[in-house]
Amino acid sequence: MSDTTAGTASPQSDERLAYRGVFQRMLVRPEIGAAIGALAIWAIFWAVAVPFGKASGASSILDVAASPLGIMAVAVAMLMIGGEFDLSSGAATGAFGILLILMVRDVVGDSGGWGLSLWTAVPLSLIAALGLGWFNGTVVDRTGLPSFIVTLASFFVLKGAKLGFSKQIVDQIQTGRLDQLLIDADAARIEQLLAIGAASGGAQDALLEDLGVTLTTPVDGLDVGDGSVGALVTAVETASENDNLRQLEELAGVSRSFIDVGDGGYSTLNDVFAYDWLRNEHIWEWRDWLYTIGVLAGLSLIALAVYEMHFRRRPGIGTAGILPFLGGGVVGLAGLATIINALFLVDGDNRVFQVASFLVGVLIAVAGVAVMQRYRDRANGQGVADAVPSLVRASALLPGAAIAVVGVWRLHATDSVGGNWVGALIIAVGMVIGFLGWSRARYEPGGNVDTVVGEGPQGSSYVSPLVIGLGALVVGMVIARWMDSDNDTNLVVEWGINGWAMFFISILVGLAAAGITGLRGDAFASALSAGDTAVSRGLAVLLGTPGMRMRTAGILTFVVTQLFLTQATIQGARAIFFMILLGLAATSMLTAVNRARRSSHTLGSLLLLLTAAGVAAAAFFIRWDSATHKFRTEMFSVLLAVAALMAIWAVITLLHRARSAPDAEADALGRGMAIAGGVLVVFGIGVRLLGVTQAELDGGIGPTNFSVRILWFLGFTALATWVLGRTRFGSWIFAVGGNKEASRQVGVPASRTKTQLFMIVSFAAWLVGLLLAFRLNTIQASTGDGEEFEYIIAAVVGGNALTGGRGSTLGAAIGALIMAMAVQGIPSARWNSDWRFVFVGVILLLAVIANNFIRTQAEQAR
Amino acid sequence: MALLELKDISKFYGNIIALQGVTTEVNAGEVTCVLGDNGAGKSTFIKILAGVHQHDEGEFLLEGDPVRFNSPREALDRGIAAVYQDLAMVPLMSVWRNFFLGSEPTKGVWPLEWIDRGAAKQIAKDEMAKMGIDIRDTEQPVGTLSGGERQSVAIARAVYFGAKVLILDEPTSALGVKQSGVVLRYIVEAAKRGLGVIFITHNPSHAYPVGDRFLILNRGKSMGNFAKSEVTQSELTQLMAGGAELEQLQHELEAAIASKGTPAG
Repeated sequence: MSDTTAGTASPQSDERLAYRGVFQRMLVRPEIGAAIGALAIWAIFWAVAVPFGKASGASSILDVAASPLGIMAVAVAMLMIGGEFDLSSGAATGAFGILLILMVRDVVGDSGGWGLSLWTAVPLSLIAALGLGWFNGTVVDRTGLPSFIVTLASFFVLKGAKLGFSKQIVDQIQTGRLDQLLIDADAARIEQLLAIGAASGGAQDALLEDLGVTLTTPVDGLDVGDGSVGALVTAVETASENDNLRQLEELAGVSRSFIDVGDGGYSTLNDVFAYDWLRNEHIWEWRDWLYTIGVLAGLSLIALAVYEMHFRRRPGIGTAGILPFLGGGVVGLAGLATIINALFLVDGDNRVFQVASFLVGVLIAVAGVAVMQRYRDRANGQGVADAVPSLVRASALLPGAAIAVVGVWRLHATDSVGGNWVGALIIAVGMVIGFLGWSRARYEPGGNVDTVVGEGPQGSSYVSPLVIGLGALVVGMVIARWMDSDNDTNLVVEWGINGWAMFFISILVGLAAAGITGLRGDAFASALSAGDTAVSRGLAVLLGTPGMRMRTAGILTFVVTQLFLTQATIQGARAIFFMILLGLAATSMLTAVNRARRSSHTLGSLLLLLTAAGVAAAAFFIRWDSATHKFRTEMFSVLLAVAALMAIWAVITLLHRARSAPDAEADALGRGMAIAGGVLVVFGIGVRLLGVTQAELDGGIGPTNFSVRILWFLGFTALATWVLGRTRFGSWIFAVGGNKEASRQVGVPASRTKTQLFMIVSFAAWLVGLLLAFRLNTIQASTGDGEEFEYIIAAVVGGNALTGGRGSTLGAAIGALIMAMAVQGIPSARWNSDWRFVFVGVILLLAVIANNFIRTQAEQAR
Repeated sequence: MALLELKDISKFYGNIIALQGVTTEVNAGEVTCVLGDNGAGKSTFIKILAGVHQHDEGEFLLEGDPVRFNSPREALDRGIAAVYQDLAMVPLMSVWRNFFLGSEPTKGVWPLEWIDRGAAKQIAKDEMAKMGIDIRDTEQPVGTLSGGERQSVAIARAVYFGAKVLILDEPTSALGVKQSGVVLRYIVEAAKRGLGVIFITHNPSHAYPVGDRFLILNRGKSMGNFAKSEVTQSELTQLMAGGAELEQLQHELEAAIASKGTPAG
């Protein structure tokens, strides 16, 4: 049968199914806009606010993002993809926290309340939470009413219940304290210890026996087992006077489990939901090594992943074994780093440690090379007879990587200015050599030399963006040189601008913006109207007529300028000016590159090299000019790395050919490499955040806690992303959100899926309620009310469509991070924190516009 | 024995007669065309076959057994797959996800159960190739496919999931001439592979070339049930519109054109 099939119908391909390159495929991902936005916002705050880029800043951003916002945003995003909303989700977070506390605590003067153990209360409250989700889902499904209305009703019911029950039971609009459990347990313990102390001789032994206490080790000054009653009594009395069991523990050397009176599971669950990692207690001298190697190797892997997905492989070269081969390489480099560290960095007095770490380094390096050796032949591809010898080909990455490691060592070996930039430069050179070697070995030579690609303006259309770009670069440097980088007085104060002048300047700038949009806004408006959400259509209408557009742009710019003038300090304004001009320069020059590519590939690559040179120049300028440490070092390294990546890309695209047909193997390998790279980067940053070096401690770095809430957030996001992308249930969520009737017809249990989605949201609300209860100990009746819109905003900022069927939980998590950055960044930048709502509004609008714009661009480019 | 047989099937919605006394049969490897104008009862007819509605009178035999489906799932389990006008596709989802929607192949054990993406993509690609379409990237959203290709995804999906009877609801109505030709070819392909195909359309010129048997519905009643040898295309057209009515319409149109005079050019 299939023979005839093949005979009668020869496979045909439709021009609609044209190949999409790796960049286009990336751009249609819903979370990509959010990720870029998050990076940009982080960079802005990093430039103007002190805590950004430090562990303490990261800790507070992550904590704010994690709970309640992040966990809820992820759950709400899943529900939104399924095409529904839950307005009761915010109130529910507080409600389940209150429920939990009411169930365990003897409230109102130690009477009333349920007095349950936490071990009972936690599952009970979970059942209640799932019940709420089931109720919401079932009502929405059975009645066919919009979930908006149904959950609005639930919201008011919850809000009322929270107030009513709190007042009725506790007579306050907040609950009692959850940690009273612990205090009660401590008190009970003290009482029992006092009883033991009061007894003597055999009676004491009997009491101890009754309580099931056996003392195996006699403790300092208190040999209870032998009946040293006096010491025990003294200890217990001192402790109970101060109501401080810790002191007793110290005195008596006994642990809390000494006498088991039980605290209803509080200690255990407190560790699960509110454990704090105290960063200052973890001194890791090797921290920065792991950080730098991890981030560099991770970013390199991601870059190589992009190459893998973009270029055409040489004939005969396969994809099998590459990932373990590269993994072996990373391990080998770690070994090399350890060896260098042992040779140069370890204090010479500590010979044993030096020799030991040298040997360990050798072992690690050998293991890494062994792995590489094992996969070398597979990685080479079997039976390739090529001009490049196989060993050279397989190892092309190594020399560069080794040079880069030497660079990392230089970077850390010295604090001197000279050593620092030499180290960075060595790393850049290593990257260039490694990547070029790898690409020469792996991808088909030839390149797209002087072939015209794409349509559009040709000829010399690249000249004006090029001139604008170079101009912006120079102007940026001049401004940065002119303004004082060490001055944190307010801009208007320093320049003596009074209120009226400020107003006048804002009006001028607003008028200028209106003029510019009037001239060039049509493309923008048409891109907007191509987006398919109500918001973008509304915006397109708003911006569609030139007059309206000019007014909108003018007013917006006026507001932003006014804000900027009232809030910015001299050094902040300098940083903002410089970064905006740098951004303008980069985009203009990249536009020039793209336009030049259309007429000549060589010219495009040359312009890209020029751009890279410009970025490198900016990097060295920043080193030379800035007073701030983070600009001098971190900004410099980042810009230099960007310059190196650009330069490599320019050369490789000149020498190699891009793919024009899909290659599933390469895509799979690329994805694997990108994921491995991402893990390495996260690992590196994690190590950097979680530990301190002795030098930092000596420098008086403040204590920083990392809460376990962050882990809950990351875990929940990871699980949700896996479920959404990899399981049947995840597929069904997209299906019921995209086309409910269709999915029902093909056998998707649509009603059940939607109900389960509501239950996921209420599960998240329960989890957040628990996290809140353990963090705050007492919960206000109004906790969480109204926050549901923040969850929805975070989800939308993360690329989730309000109409359902499209979105990403990862995006929602990133959206939550953006919101958290606003919460943390605005006060730390010493702007008035009331403005954060303006910021959130602007971000929301920009996110929606950017998402639509990127998607329509990406889909047009097909 | 016919694969599927309907004897005097009727369906009432309250006092509205949606379908009355309809009789036809579907054989393996043959195409049975159901023709009718708008409101003729075609939708009710397929919904009974696909298990969305249940018949009120008459006999519905599947491979000789009298059956009565309570849900589309039941019909699907017995091998009756319906491809509706809206194709039951989610436009924003990829080709392979749509192909396997509701019946995804999985690996692992619940709750650690995930979709076998590799297999799913390969099967979707292969099945589409058998229908004569080369989908190079099964990650492409279905919304970006042409109408004919979407039809072919829906048909390939039904065939792959073991349909014995394939019901196609107006597959060509929204398509241009060329795309319709492509879809008609898929219909023949599906029949050649041993399926019984029920092809619902209001276009006799699409039905006649591919059909082996024709059931004509008008206002809920059967106007006849013919084998191909018993009827011609123009007779089909006449019967569809209720014979006399169409003749009258033709006369009226001719009169209208005559009174307007010869159009220029």
